Amino acid sequence: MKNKAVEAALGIVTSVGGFLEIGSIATAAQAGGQFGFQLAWAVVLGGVCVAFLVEQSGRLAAVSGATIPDAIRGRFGFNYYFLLLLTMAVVSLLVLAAELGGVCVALEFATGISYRWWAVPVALLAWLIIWKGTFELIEQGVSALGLVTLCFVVGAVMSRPDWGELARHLWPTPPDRDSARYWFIAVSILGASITPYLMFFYSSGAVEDHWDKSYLDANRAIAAFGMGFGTLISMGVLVVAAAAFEPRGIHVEDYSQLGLLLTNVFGRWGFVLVAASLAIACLGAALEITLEIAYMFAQGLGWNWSENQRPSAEARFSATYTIVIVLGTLVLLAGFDPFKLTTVSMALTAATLPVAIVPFLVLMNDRRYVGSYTNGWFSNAVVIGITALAFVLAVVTLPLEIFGGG
Amino acid sequence: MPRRFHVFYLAAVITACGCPVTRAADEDAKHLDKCNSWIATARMVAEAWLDDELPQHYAAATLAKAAAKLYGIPACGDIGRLVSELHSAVSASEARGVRQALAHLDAPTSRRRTSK
Amino acid sequence: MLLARDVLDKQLIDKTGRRMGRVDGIVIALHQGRPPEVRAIELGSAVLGRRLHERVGRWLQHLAGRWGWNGVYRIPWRRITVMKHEIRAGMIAERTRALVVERWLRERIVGRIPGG
Repeated sequence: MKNKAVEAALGIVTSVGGFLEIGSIATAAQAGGQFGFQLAWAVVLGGVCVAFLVEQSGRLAAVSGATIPDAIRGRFGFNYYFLLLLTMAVVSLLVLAAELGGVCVALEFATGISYRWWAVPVALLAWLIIWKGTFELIEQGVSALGLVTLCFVVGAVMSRPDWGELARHLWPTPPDRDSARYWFIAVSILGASITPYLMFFYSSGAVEDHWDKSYLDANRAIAAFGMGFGTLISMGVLVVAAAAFEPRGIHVEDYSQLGLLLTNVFGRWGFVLVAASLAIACLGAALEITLEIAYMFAQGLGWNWSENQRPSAEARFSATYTIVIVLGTLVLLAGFDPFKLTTVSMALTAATLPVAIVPFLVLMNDRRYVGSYTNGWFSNAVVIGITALAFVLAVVTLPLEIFGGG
Repeated sequence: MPRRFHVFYLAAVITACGCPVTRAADEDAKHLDKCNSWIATARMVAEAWLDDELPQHYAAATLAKAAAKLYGIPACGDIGRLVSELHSAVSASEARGVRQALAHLDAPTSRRRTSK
Repeated sequence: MLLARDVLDKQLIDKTGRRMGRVDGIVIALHQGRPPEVRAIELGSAVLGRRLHERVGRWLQHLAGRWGWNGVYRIPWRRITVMKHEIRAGMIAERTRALVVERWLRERIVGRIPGG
């Protein structure tokens, strides 16, 4: 019992440290800068949904011993899995490029050398960590460093926000202007929080760590507190952006503006903290996404895939993640504006959510996989409701954003 | 599987076609917002640099970017030039130059409103 | 036991506990007057390709023949044991054609990079 408590605590710390990444930072900064606290509800909804999804992912892994890709192919067959793989791989690749971009931008902040020059070294570093590292190193090491992102929570408190005003917007409110932009940012926030790769990665981790039914309580704690505190950090970015940018009328549309997030609150250290947070958070996310795309191939096609084995014991898996990193780097170097790449890939994530969530929910209600631990009606309702919202918003706003010129 | 694709694409096309055509006034308002946003960014960067809160290379690069963005917005070219002044002053580490350029930035607010 | 539900697409594990692939296809022999008989399971890119479309399957089979990877690999039904969440094969994966790409990658590329 005591062992599980330690595991739960570790899991929570890992989740908190690993929560923030370029998507949540960019979208929360945009939201705060342009709409103050008005979009706080989107951060809350995203957090609630992902907490439920993470708990369910862990439960599936613990009870059935299967990872999500494993279970989806087994239950729905190869043809559907192929659709899922294709969709997830393409969208995840874009997100990966954005995350690698985030690390490069942080290095540009630190050194003044343009982010493009950092793309190859950063990719190499990410590859090396996966090649030589163990699952533990990646999960816990990078995530522990990720706790630096708590600076946004501290910064938010120090900016003395009107807490009443914030509270009023924890519930969805319609915008008072710029509707198209408002809803696009809302859907980007949802897409930044509700990421299938996070769920899939979590279930893979649970199987790597040989979770069984005795881990169900720890799983619930990690989902609730890990995602809960993580969401607080995203909220922190929003509040900080609202304090720094909204009064000045600054609309965040370029990554360079992110450097200004914490200067009001922390002076010189503000800039350093933003750079450090970006670098670590995005590197962690890049590692996760790379692994997750490789897991989807490996698990879906039945290869060996453990992160704790030597690369030559799982040559196809190793080759896959190597190719993934190369492709991600190429997308980054292709020259898209990193900020736009980020917000659009978040919206695309939201748009393609049903492809992963629908079969996942079916599994969570299938006794052959989760035994007697099927979802209650509330869990189903929360996930269906929020995912449907994200999907509808994405389908409506994405064309506007891409063709309407945001 | 094919049927699912059709529904998705149909929905996407319908919503894309349903977009309201943007009016000229909306475009102007958007431009003004963008313009003000980058001016404010430039000002924030310059002031923070004066307070020694930002490294030089970052401040210079961001000001250059702000100027470039402003040049790209119709009717904001003048301001773009002022921000370029800021950029030059920061690049040369001239605190006085920066303060002067900031003062210029604050002065001609009336000029921006003359755009259609 | 329902074949599609309990056998198809399930993870295949070999005698040593190593992951061998997934059941990509099932071979059934139809006889006049007798119930259909399950002959074998199949693994391979051509088998998967065929499930997407006939032509894809044939094309992958052709490429597999050219480049030597596994297009179709059959395991007789008598060597298979159906478990609750996976299928066990009474053979050693390393020695079969199912892992030809894995072996090639290991020997030619992955194994040659330091730390592999």
